[in-house]
Amino acid sequence: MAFLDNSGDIILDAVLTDVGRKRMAAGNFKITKFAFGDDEIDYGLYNKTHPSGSAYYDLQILQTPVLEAFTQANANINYGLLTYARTDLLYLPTIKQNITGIGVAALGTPLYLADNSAGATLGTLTSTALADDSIVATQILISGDPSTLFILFETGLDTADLSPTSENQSTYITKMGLLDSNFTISYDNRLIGTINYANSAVFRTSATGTTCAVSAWASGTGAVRSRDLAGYNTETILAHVSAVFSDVTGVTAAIANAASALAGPKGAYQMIVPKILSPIPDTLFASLGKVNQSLGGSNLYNYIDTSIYIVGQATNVTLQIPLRIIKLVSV
Amino acid sequence: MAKSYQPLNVNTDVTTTRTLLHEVIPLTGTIISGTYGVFPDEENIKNYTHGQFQSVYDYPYLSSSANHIFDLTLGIQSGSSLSASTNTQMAKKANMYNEYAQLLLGYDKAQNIEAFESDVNVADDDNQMQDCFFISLSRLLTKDQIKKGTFSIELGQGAFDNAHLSTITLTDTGSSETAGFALGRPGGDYAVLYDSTASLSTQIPTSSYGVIFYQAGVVVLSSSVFNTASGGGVITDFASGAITQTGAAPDTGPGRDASYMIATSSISGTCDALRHRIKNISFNNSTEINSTIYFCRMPVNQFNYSSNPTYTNASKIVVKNVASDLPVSYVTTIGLYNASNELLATAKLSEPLRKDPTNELTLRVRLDY
Repeated sequence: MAFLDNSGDIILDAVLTDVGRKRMAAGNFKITKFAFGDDEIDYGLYNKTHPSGSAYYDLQILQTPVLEAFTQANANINYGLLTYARTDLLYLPTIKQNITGIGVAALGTPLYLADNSAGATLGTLTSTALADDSIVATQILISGDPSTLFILFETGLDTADLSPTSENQSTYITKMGLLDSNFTISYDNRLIGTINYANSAVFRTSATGTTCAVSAWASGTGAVRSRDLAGYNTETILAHVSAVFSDVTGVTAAIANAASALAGPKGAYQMIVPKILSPIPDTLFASLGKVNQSLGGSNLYNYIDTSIYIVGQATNVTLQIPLRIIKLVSV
Repeated sequence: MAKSYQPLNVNTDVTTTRTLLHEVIPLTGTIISGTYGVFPDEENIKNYTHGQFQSVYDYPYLSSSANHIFDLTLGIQSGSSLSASTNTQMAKKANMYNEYAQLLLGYDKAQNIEAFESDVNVADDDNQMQDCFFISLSRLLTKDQIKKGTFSIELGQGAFDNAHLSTITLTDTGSSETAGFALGRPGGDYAVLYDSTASLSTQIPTSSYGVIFYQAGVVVLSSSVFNTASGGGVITDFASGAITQTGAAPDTGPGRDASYMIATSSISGTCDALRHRIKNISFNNSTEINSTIYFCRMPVNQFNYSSNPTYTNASKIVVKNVASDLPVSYVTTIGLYNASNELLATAKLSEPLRKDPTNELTLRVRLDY
């Protein structure tokens, strides 16, 4: 009878992050929870057709070299392992920006957010000047003003395997606990003051077409410091349930999918317009961005590039939207 | 940013441990004297304009690669027979003795500074060491403390030109972690250094020539160590004539023993002479590591999915063919968070670890302080 091999005992040495050292210096270092990350893993290497059998499906994944720990915020755990109660999930929702509707912002690289912190006129002037400089109108948001353009995003299943029916929404999303009732939005708290969002809205398809309308807007309240991103604030806003279905009279799957960013059953959605923290001083434009820049025409702008992050609270899916906060300096 | 958090139960998932790490520290006499230049002006020896002590480095001290090893100085108790106002740097020598004595031994009932003794009972005022060398070892070497029972210093007792022809080794081998040392003094635990060849019955006080303070990392040597019978009696050329007081004529001959040099020579000059006679120093240091171990458990029904963007392809989980297939995930990193979900510490696995609903893992994450 041989001895048992106990060499597999796992003890890991942890290193403090920058925040950990800061908390230790301040005397409020207290660990209360843990999470797991798998940022190095490319699940695309999982080979379900390996000729040697199932024991070899993850051979390449298990050979993935793992990097040493580093210490900045969110170190190595940008994506984490998730717990879902059910083990029979075959599809997981994704989140996408919808660019198909009227009044809906395009997928901009970047998406311009005109600064109106010194008055609505400035925002309009900036928007007009950008249009003069051949920036596509659907890439120009005005800070905190949803009347011309807003960002629409959706969660759901982006697969052609499943039709976008109400039944599939119920089966694959709602009953699986994957329907978001809230989104958290994180933004640079030096630049953005709050998020304006649709407090009451409708997004549906019918025989007469697609309706994407907001009946009431609200501003986010209760912003707190982001737990994951240094210098960011996080706000929680509500989510709306999509009614873009193909199993409605006069609506086909093609029509429903044309109205949506997702190819399969839809889940939740929301519309937002970030509102700039007023006023952003020119010194901040100089230190974080660029000043007196031309975008191809004679107009000069100050601008700062930043990103906002949207996370579905039930699905844990994340959408990053690059934004260019821009202010007209001279015409 | 998406991840599932699992709370730690302080009663079942967190424990603390205390570990002592030891390193062997050998210091050879060649580093201390003669390697980086011509004695006594080696480039790894730093003297100061204040003249109160001398620093020894492991490399020329002007180099950024140099590490401080120890400081050398000496002192004379004001009540010593060697104490005389005409002595060179007498005030500084008295100050050095008093500084070490009050820091390491404290005061007696009459509020007088205690004197060093070559035993572990300073209250009885016997076996006093009134003219001493002090070796203050760098914290870089001693870490938290010198391990008891491991210290030894080998000193040359030959003539100056061939100092290491005969040697004496002083050790604290009578001391251990549980016995053989004194405690309760401001300088912490200390023990006697005695001739390693001495029989047990004569170790103290006959063959004891100093004391060592373990936490402070200070070795106190009596000048009488160079007047031993094993060394052939009193060393009459403790220093060469060339290293007595700067500008003075060579001062050699009978009576020029260590005590004489302590009294009449400068601190730096006498330290040079001591360096010349140090053949080896060896000890084990101790580092106390307090660790908190967090038991990060991955139960069968948790952490089986991932928010990694590659985990799905067109919303379909890539590790599954049908819904009834087991979900699989691979962990590479563990993050420890506070109640505000701030990442305070992170630990990495050496290779990805598979997690699925058929297995349960416990990863022990150790955080050292």
